[in-house]
Amino acid sequence: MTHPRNHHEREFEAFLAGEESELARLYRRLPQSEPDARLDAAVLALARAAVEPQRVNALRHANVRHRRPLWLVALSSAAGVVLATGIAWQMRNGFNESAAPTLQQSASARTERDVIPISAIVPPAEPAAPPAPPPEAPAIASTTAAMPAPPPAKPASLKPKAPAQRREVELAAAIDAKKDNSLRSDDRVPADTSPPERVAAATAQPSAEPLARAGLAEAESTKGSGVDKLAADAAQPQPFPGTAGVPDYNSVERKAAIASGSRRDDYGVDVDAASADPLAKQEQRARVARSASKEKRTVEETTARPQSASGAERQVAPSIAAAPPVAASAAAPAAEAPPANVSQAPAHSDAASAVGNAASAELKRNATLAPDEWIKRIRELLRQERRADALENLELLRRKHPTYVVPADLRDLRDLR
Amino acid sequence: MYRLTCRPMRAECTDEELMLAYGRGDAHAFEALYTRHRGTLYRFLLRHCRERASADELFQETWSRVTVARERYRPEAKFTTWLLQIAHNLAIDLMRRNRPQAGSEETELVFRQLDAPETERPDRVLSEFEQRRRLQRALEDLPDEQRNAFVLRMENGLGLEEIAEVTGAGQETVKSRLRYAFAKIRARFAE
Repeated sequence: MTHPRNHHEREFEAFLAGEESELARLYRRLPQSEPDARLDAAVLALARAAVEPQRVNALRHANVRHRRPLWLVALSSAAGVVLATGIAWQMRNGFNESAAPTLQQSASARTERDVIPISAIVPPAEPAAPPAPPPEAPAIASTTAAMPAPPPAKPASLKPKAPAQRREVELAAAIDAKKDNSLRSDDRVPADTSPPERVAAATAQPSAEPLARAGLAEAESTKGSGVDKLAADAAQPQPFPGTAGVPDYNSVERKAAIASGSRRDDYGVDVDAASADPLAKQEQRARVARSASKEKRTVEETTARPQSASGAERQVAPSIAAAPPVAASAAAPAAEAPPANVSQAPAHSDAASAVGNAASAELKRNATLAPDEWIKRIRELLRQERRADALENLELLRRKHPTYVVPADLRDLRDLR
Repeated sequence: MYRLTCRPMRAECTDEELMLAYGRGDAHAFEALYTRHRGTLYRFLLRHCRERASADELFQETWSRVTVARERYRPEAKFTTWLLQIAHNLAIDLMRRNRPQAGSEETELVFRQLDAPETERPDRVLSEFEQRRRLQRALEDLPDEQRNAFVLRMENGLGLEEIAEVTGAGQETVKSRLRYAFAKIRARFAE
């Protein structure tokens, strides 16, 4: 028989050990009370509300970490627009301020870089020149202007000239030289010409070189006679491309004839035959004088035509000069006019040619000026009622400085031409 | 080491992992944790307070304390112990406000009944309903410390050490309280 206290103690030990017992079974059958739904909702809402700020902060922190704020994007965009606008504005101002000078400088630099300045080699007309070149030298000189000077001809191939003939030729040459000097006194090329002008002179030089060579040949053939002045005059570099580009074919023929020793005058009259008769000699002198004045007029006419041409045409004057001169052919009938008309015509043509040469010289001087100064000169010409000269200057300015912006008033003047 | 998150397999997560997840703001972890312990906690409180209204109040207050202390929770203690400790403290406070503790005379009476001979104990077989009613009444008549210890042992399956940790008493004291509670309930069945 077990003691009741020991029995309870064993049951209690089993209770503490969690063994299955009648009491445990009975306890599990007790009503399993649970909180109602309202209480559950209240507790869950309380729990969510407790962690909601924390969750919001976590989400906000994640958004800040992963998303770029809108104000930063907007600020960056605005800064980019301002920067682009500033750059465009600066470039525009810089272009307006320095576009014309820069382009002008670049154009002049390109001209200086591309065009090799060539100084014409003009052999001086020495009194004691070497023997005259062979008769075919002028022809070669007229066709190949840039070729070097031909070797001196043999003295044996030249015929000695008679003293009377020499005097006549000297007289005609003196008249020509006098007129040329009077008309071309303003057309001398300045010693301190700018490179482009030297280039123009050098470009025009080949056209004058045949004449120079012809004169040189004549000078050499006459050996210090009065014809040397004519040769020296012809050998001088032509001051203006248009004038220089037009060959004096009468002079060329005459000089060629002289050089060849055929001794025929400008009109095909045999000098040797004319010199035999004293009357014929006087007539010959008059013819020489008339032919000289006519020749000069012809040259002036041919000179005035290229002056109205553009600068580009002047630059290609050598090619034009290679063509048969219209003025020379037109001057031939005029030479057949009565002497009275001939005596009045030279004075009138001399004045016109003097004005034309002065204008061309002024144009040449203006071409050396800066574009702005040149524009001022053009405006002066307009004030002086010299519209044609102003237009000519304006066109030359535009060709020489293609990038220069012509003022609006002069642009209208150009359009109204 | 506890995992930082327990979202993929929340059903397999321990109470401590769920509590740590809730401490980081995971409300779903709290829901899982609440589902696991809502019944036992409520019954513990209901047995403790004997009144449903008080039990509801203590139940909500207990979980509120859990949510407030979520960031301070450290997994050194078992979550169940920590939860019941909170509930027990709240229940003690409530009982102290409502009525005085059972006196030593009542405890002596219970021990005397336990020490009564078997012949003095009722031996009639009661129906199961009557047995549950008697157990219910016996629990209600137990002193608070004894009832708490008995409920923690029967309802939550805590051992002496854990009950001592929840109630803040020594293991021997808990063992004594359990002994008295067990004796009184047996005595009630013997009536």
